[in-house]
Amino acid sequence: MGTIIITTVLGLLGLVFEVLRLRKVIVPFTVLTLLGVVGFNLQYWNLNAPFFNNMLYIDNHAVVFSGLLALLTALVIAMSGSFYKNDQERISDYVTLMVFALSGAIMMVSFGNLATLFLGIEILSVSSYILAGSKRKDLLSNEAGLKYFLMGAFSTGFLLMGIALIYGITGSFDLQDITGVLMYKQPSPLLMTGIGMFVVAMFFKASIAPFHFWAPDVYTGAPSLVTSFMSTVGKVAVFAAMYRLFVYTFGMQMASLEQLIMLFIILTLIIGNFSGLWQSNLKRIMAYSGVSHAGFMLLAVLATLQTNAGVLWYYATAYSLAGIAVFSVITYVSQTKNDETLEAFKGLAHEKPALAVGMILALLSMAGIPPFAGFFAKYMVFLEAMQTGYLYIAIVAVLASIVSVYYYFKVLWAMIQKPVAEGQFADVPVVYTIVLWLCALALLGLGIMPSFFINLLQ
Amino acid sequence: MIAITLLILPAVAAIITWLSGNKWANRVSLLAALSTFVVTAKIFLDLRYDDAVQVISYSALWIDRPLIYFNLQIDGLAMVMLGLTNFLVPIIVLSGIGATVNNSKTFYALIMVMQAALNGVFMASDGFLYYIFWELALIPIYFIALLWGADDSRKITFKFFLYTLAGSLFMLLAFIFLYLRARDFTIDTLYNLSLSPTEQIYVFLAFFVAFAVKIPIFPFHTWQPDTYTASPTQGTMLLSGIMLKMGLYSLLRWLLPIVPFAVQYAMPVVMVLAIIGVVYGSWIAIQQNNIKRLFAYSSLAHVGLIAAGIFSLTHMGLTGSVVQMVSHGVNVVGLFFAAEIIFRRTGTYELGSLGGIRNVAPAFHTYFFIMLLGSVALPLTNGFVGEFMLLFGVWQYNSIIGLIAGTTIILGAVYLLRMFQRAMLGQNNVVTEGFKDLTVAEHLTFLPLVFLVFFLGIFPNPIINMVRPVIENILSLATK
Repeated sequence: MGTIIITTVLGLLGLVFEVLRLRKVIVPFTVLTLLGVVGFNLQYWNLNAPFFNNMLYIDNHAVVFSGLLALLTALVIAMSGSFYKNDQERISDYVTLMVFALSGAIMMVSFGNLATLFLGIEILSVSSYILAGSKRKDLLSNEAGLKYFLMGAFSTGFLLMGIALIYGITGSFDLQDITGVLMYKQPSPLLMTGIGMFVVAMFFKASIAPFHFWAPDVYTGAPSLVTSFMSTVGKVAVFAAMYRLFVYTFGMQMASLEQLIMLFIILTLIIGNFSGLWQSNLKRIMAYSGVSHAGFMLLAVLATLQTNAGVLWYYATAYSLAGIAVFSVITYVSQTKNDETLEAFKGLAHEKPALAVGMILALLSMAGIPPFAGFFAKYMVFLEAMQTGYLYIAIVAVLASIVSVYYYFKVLWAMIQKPVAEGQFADVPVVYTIVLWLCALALLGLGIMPSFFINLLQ
Repeated sequence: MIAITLLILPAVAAIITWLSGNKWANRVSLLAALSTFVVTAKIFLDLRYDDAVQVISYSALWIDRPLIYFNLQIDGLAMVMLGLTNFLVPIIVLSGIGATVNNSKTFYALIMVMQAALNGVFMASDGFLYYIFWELALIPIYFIALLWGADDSRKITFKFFLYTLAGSLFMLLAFIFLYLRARDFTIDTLYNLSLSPTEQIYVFLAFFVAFAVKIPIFPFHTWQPDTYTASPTQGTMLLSGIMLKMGLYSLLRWLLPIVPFAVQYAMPVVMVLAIIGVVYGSWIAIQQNNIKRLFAYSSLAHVGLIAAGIFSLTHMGLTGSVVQMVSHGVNVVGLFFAAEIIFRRTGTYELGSLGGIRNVAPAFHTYFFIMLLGSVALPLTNGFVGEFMLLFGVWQYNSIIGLIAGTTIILGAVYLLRMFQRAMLGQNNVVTEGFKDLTVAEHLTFLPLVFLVFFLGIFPNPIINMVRPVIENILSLATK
């Protein structure tokens, strides 16, 4: 609860600093405060208590995810000082929007009431719409903002409809009340429609196929730093919300939709991995990679069903840290060359080996190669899926992850090629290298000692 | 505790090598590899060899949910493989003296990482840990082949990577399946698991694909000749000398005892595939004009025979497979080193442009000829002992298959001697006229290999005695 208040106030402070002509302080202050929030957040460990008449419910699940989200936001904002070097007069807007988006994301992982869920999603989404379109003179960025907004607004409609239908059946917005009523309800068409609406809305936000069409365009059009924010913070928050909604609240009622969701997972795994093969823009590759990882995370949500909440958390951490690492390099390259195609990455390994090696580690983790965290994450998902009896999906997932290796390696090959000309890469801002290597080392650490993190949520 | 040194030492060596810079990397990594060899020798002396299986082990809990142990275990069989690995790695590093390698600190650091992973594969006695090392070994060798290989190596090495990864991911699924039955990955639990015949066949398929790609067994071999040719020679040595033994070793350690029914069920098919590999590999080798490619196909033929020996499920076949794994490792590294020396001096692997090297480089000629005789399996050389035992085992299983497999000795002599004749004998030409004889470092590289060719040929008993109890144990599990 305190976490949300602090982040909201932090967002406001960013605006105040701008007014007080303290522009230079905004980024360091925000980053440090967010790191403080990560620590502050720990005081709610093992609390398991409702706040504000059960509008928020803070359990360990909420605590670990809030911490992760705050950390990711801090990493992204740390890079923003350098990314917006030539756009200083608006830096307060960008930073503030990200912090507000974070407060929405934290609401999404700790909601106790459907109204809070709705608020959280909207705060996160509206901030993201603006951020996606924030490069105002760039046509693609405008397109991204508008597309994201139109599609997002559409899916919000589904969400509201779902909330209304669930309210109609259970007579409450409160998660505990809803769980209580649904426990003794037979599945009815009305109930299934209501849950179905939630499924559509959440799958849209999480870019699960066939609701993923916005992702590649929005990811490509948005400024790189914003893409790194949306693809990590945005996605992790949605999955944490989904877990709370589908597993804790709807629980057994989800069983009748299981076959359908399985179909979505298979579609997502296939589309996400195969579509990535033909892309040459790195942000599009990452968008499809994000779609495929969404498939894995959805499998984790569905297959675990309360047995092991740590799996989703571990997967989300591995995915988002690797995402930030990769995007720190993409951001650097797109900033210096104004180009994110594979062409632009040629020769990176020769001229900036530190960046290239860090990025290769992150890509290997994403591809699921041991001993990195991405491997354990996938392994845990396979294990849970097979334990639940979804052997066929596990096989599809294995095939999909073999396919995905190809496009991760395409990036690798581009980087190790001989550079076309000398000195085409400008100096790397130190903060990018730091963020990259922090993430890469964290991935290695998580991979070597996965127990501790998975067991957090036992 | 000493077992874990074999992992830590090369891993630390990798970091030190990398830090030592391009100038010193080769020498630093050589020193590290030699000290790992010393530790291996110490373990060799510590381990007792008698009628029962004796082990040196290290055990610790790694991950509690799902239950994964950091269990290492060295028995006679693992000891042989460790000996081979830690004997060959210094040789491979030594063979790099005199060659110019770009960014050599990374190159040798990757070799050290590779050594750690290989040692891990041979020691691991927890299925999951074994899997991690198995996959880990792939990464350094992939980068070695990609970054230091021929210009067209990108597609070739990716094929190699993809084949191996695809195979091993199905192995991972099989391991998860076993885990869900046993609730544990330790090798003893997996050995005692009773699976229904159908389950065994699925697990067998998943495991077999992973191992067959690595070994490689026909028709999973298509990555192999290209990769061997395109890799830098030291990478090829690692691949052919040690890494493919991972697959053969895994057949013995992880396949035969866990799914005995399926192994017996699939025995005829695998036998036929392996023998096809033997004949096919030899046949293509006869037509090769590129020395490295020729050795690649000859290697395909040799490992096919080893796989056949393992699947004969006879005591002779299994023991022979271990002996031949060592012999093949020694011989193939020697042969590839000879190819490398020719390439260093002439810039070509093509037989057509060589000839008459014997006239100008007698010492090189002698060493090369000895390595060749080992490969041809001349009596009193190491190749003879292994191949004889293997053929005997295969013969016991089926005399017709044994007969066909026996052609490997004849065909082997044909392609190897033909190669030798065209490259080394005859008249000198412009390319080979100024062929310099061996340097001191090259002498030092060849000498231990040559020594082993004769030592194991005359006196193979140490290996046979070391592995006997382990082989008996595996056989009793596999034929129950």
